[in-house]
This record gives sequence, structure tokens and C-alpha cells, in this order.
Amino acid sequence: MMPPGETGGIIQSKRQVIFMSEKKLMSKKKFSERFGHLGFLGPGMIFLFLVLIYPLAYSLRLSLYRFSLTDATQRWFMGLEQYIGLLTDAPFLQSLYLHLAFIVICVFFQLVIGLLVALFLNRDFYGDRVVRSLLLIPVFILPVVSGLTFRFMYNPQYGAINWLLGLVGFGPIEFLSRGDTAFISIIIQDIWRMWPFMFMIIYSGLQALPREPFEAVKIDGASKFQELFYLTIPMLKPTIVVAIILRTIDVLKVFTEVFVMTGGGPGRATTLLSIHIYRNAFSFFNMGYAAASSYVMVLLAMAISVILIKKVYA
Amino acid sequence: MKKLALLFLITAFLFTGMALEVQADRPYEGETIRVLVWRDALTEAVIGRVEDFEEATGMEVIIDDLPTDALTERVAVNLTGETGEYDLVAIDEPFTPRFHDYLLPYAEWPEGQVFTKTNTDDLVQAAVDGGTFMGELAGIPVNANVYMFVFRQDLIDDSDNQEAFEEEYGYPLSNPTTTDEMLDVAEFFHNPPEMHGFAPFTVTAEGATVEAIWVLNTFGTQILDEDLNLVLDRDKAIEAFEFYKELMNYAPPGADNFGHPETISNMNAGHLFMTLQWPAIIAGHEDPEESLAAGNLGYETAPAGPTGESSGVTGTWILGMPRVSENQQAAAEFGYWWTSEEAHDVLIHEGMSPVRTSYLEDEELQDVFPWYVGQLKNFEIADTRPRYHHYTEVSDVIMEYFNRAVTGDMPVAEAVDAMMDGIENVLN
Repeated sequence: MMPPGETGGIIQSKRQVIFMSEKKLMSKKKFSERFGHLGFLGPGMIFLFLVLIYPLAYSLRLSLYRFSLTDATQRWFMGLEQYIGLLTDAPFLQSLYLHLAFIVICVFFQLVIGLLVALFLNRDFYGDRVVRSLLLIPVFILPVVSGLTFRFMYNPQYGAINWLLGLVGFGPIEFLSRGDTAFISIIIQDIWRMWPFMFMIIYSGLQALPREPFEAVKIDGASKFQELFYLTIPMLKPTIVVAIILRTIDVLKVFTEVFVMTGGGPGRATTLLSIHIYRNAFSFFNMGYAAASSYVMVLLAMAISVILIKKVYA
Repeated sequence: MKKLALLFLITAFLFTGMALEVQADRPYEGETIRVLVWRDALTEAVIGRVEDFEEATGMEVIIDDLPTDALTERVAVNLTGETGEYDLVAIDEPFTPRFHDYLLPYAEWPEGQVFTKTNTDDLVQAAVDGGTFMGELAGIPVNANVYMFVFRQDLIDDSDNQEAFEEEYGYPLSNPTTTDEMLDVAEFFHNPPEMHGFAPFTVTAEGATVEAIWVLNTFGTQILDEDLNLVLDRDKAIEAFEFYKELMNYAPPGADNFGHPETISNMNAGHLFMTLQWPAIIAGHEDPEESLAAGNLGYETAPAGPTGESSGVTGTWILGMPRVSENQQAAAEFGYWWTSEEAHDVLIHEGMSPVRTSYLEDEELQDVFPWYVGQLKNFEIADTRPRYHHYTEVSDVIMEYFNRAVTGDMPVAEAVDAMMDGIENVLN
């Protein structure tokens, strides 16, 4: 009789061999399972790195420098001093406040108009599809075309708006000539062009709402007002938040239409942050300053999005 | 057989000779240059005739023409990135200091093989000065621009107007030569909506700075001296802006946001008495197919201010050659052709403004292009804008506070103070 340890040892070692080779197979399998997908993802990741990550990292680095594109003597590392400087830079702050006001006013009115029209059109009627399609036309107009068209319409001598005002005994109003009216004018242009976007999202949200709760409140005798404020709007809240986030990010990027309408003037009355950044980058060639200002804009967009999302899912 | 061989040899010799001759005439066969220019009537004329140059040299010329803002961006990116994408780039006067380090000075441009290197002696001196920075001509001037005083000569010459004016103002009506007379004629002819006394430039663009520099110089004050010190005389600046603000009373509706398109439409529709304008745009005012004012305009130096002196502002464009261009020889030929007499003979009839003094002085041409005489007069009194690397930042401050002062958005004295502070900040 063999000592138990020996036989057992042989068996154990055989098992060990089997176990080891299984382990090897497993580990090989795990390796391909673990990393095989990288072969498929790799090209995409490299592309993403080249077109997104690298430019972002490069501009972040640039934002820490005093960097004049045309003057090699004006290039040195500033670090966070560049960002701290923005906090006391009057033109930057003025443009930032102006842009925030622009966002708040535009998004608010677009939301209200979009919601009201979506509620109104959320029913079947003859030609409803045609009406809904026609309402979307402004969204598909290029910003530069919209800006130029409004610029002509606002013209005090030959503009359509002043002509209409003249018919009812008003005007001419120099819409783009005075700071306050110019700011209101660019807001009106943006509201006109993009409210259908809000409508489109909210209308889709309304279509997706379940019918049962509405039938239930009808049986309970709720008024239309109660139905709207205690049922429709609360149920639409996630859709509305998504619409606000998308529009806010979009309005943060507004540039072309304002640039062709006013060029940021009169004075600095319509110099939104985007125009301020553009002028610093491509008129004064202060690329570092422009990059830092752009990052503030990005942070702003992220902060607004995070706050809104947290509010919804809190 | 011998005769046949001899005939063959002679024929072969002749063909080879002809081929060599063709090659010598067109030494750039197969070469291509890229040129970046602004977009207006002048460059349109050049682009329309570039085939003549290609025919003469054998090279291909690819011209990209862009609106001025987009052009400056692309010039900046290409020059500072030393991409070598373009062999020639057009640069507006205010940007010459910024880019001159990246350009081959004109003195170092190679001699031409097809066209003779342009002698700058016949080029408008003010344009040569406009293209010069730190004592070096940065490229070849191709657009001799100067801000000109333009007015409706026919209305001045009208006997009824003369009678009515003298009765109202107590002196005879004539071309305004002082700022006081300028205000008087602006008021006299201002009869909206049929006629407006004066067209300002107030949109947020470089033109507003040019307007501000003109009025400040007219009232005897400069902004920066040669050592880049702020030398703006506060009182004179206030007086200058107050004068301009008064002129604004006689402007068309929308005057607080008035640029070239508005001025052009008013002048061409016959609704404008006077303005300050660039020659390239004046060509349109004098085109009877486009303008009701054609043939009725007068051109003079702008009215003199309290110092008794008139002022003007130049706006030279140069063709600069990037140091990194790999086709410098071929590119130089294009610059020489553009400024050559051969090209002038053809192109000025197709919309190009001459850069050669001899053409501006040509009496036959002056009959065809009546503003040439006024252009020459204005060149004599015109100054360049401040020659400063960071001029665009200074310009931004000037245009903002000039606009705010003359449109009443800010009290004039406050705007002048803010402008001085803003310029100091940039300089520091």
C-alpha cells in the first residue's frame, strides 16, 4: 500500500496539472474576453483622441499661457493666474453677464411658447401634420441667413418691421442702433428661430405620456388648469429639463447670427461671451486668453446641466 | 538621301529652337502658386484677368478671395503657423506691424524673369509708407486706399440752392472747406426722407476707428506718438466728438449703426449729400448702372478743423510674401504683374484702383475716373493709422468709445476719459 500522501500527491499533482492548464485556458480566454474588444474599439478611440481629447487638452494647456499668435515675445506660462484675471476683467464679465441674460431670456420664452403650442397642437385635427411640419421651418434656417434677414427686417429705412409699424402710425425704430433695443432684437431673432425646437421635444414628450392618468382625473372631475399643473407638467418634467439643457448648451454657442446682425455693437451692447472670445482670438490674437474664456464657457454649460439634472432626479 | 537627311536635321533644329524659345518665354510652365486676397471690386478685376498672367508666364495661379475678417484669420494662421500654404498674402495696413516678421521684405524679393521688378518710385508714396514698418517695405503695395471726402457737387452748383443758402447762412454756398461749413451744408441739405446731410460710420468695425482718427486729427490731436505714448489731447478730443455728434443729427435713420452697406444704398439712391468714403466704393457710386448720384459727385480733401488743416487716413493693402514660401521667384512675378503698367492699362477699366501715381495723374484717365484728382489731394494730407503691434486692441477701444460718444450712449467727456483709460490699459 502506497503511502496516502504519495498517491494523493500524484492525483493532486495531476489535478494540479489539469487545474493549471484550465487556468491557462481560462486566463487566455479571459485575456481575449477582457481585451479583445479593444481591437474593435481601438480605431474609434484613436479617432476620438485625435479629434476631441487632444484638442481639448491642447486648448486647456493653452489657457494656462499668455499666448499671442502673432507675437513670439508675448508667450509665457501664467497658470491659474489667467483664470483669476478673468474674474476681474471687466469686458469678460460684461460679456458673461450679457450672455447669461441672453440664455435665461431666450430659453424661458422659447420654453413657454414651445409648451403652449405643443399643448395646443396635441390633438388630432385636419392638416395637423402639415401644421406641425411648417412650424419647424425656422429651426432649419441657417443662423447666418436668419441673422441677415432680421438685420434687413430691422432696418429703419427699408426694413419690413418698420414698414409694418409705419402702417399703424409707429416708428421708425432704430432697432439695432441703440444698446437696449439691439439686445432685445437679437433675443427676438433667437426666440423666433429656435422656439420650434422646444415645441418639437415637448410635443414628443406629450405624445409619449400614458393616457390612463388623464382619463382618471377627468373622471375625478379635475379642471383643465388642474390637469395641466398637477399632471401634464409634472409628468413632462424630465422632457422639459432635457429640452432646457439642450437649448442652454446651444444658446451658449450662439455666435453667427449675432455677429452678422450687430457685430457685437453698438459699443459692446451685444458682445456676448462667444463674440468676446472670437474677437480676442482672431482680432487681437490672444489665444491663451480666448482659450481660458472658452473653458469658463464649457464649465458654465456643465454646471448648468448638472444642476438641472440633479433637480430632476433628486 | 543626303538632301533628305539635311532637311530632317534642319527641321529638327528649327523645332528644338522653337521649343527652347517657348520655354524661355514661359519659364514657369508647370509651376503653381497660391495667393490669398480680400474680396472686392479690385480683386475681382485682378481675378478676372489672371489668365493673362498665366498665359505670359506659364504658371498656374490659384487665388482664394475672402471677406476681410476671414482673410485676416487665415493670414494669421498661415503666417504664424509657417504653413507655406500661400505664396502671397494680402495684408491690410493695420496688420502690417503684426505680420512683418513673417514676410520677406520687398527689397529682398527676387528680380523677375518675365516682368520687371516694380520700382516703388512710381507707386503712391502714401501707400508705400502704409506698407512700411520699422523702415522696411513689408511687401508690394497693391491697393492705394485713402479716406476721401465725397459730396453732391450738383447740389452745390445749383443756383436755387446757392441763393437759398446765402440767404439763410449769410455767405455763398461752395464746397465746404471747414468743419463749421460742413455742419452748415449738412443742415441745409438735410431734408428727410428725400435727402440726408451726412452718412457716418458707426458699426462695430475698423471703419469706426478710421472715422474717429479722421475727426481727431482734424481737430488737431493724435492718439499715439511715434514712441507709443498716449498723446490724445482730452479737450480737443471732446471738441472733435461733439462736432461729429452734431453731424449725426443730419444722418439717415439708423445712424447709430451705420456702415458701408447703408452709406452705399443711400448715396446710390440719391438720398445722401456727403460722406467719407474709400475709392474702391466710390467706383460704384460713379457707375450709372448702379447709382443715381453718378456724375454728380465732387471729391475734395475733408474740411479743415480749428487748426486750419485737413486730415485723411490711408488704408494700404500690400501683397506680402511669406518667408517660408517655396515659390518665391514665381510669386514675385505675380506681384510685379499686378503692379505693372501692362496690368494697369487693362485692370483699371475693370474696377482696379491704380497704385501707380502716373495713372492717377493721367488727365485722360481723370476724365473717366473723376475721383483720381481728389484721391491724389487726399494722399498728400493722409496719415497712416498708429504703427503698433497691438494696434487692433487700441482700435477696439477707440471704436467702442467713439461710437458711444457720438451716438449719445455716453456723455462725450466720459467716453473720452474711458477711451484714454482703455488705451493706457492696452499699452501697459
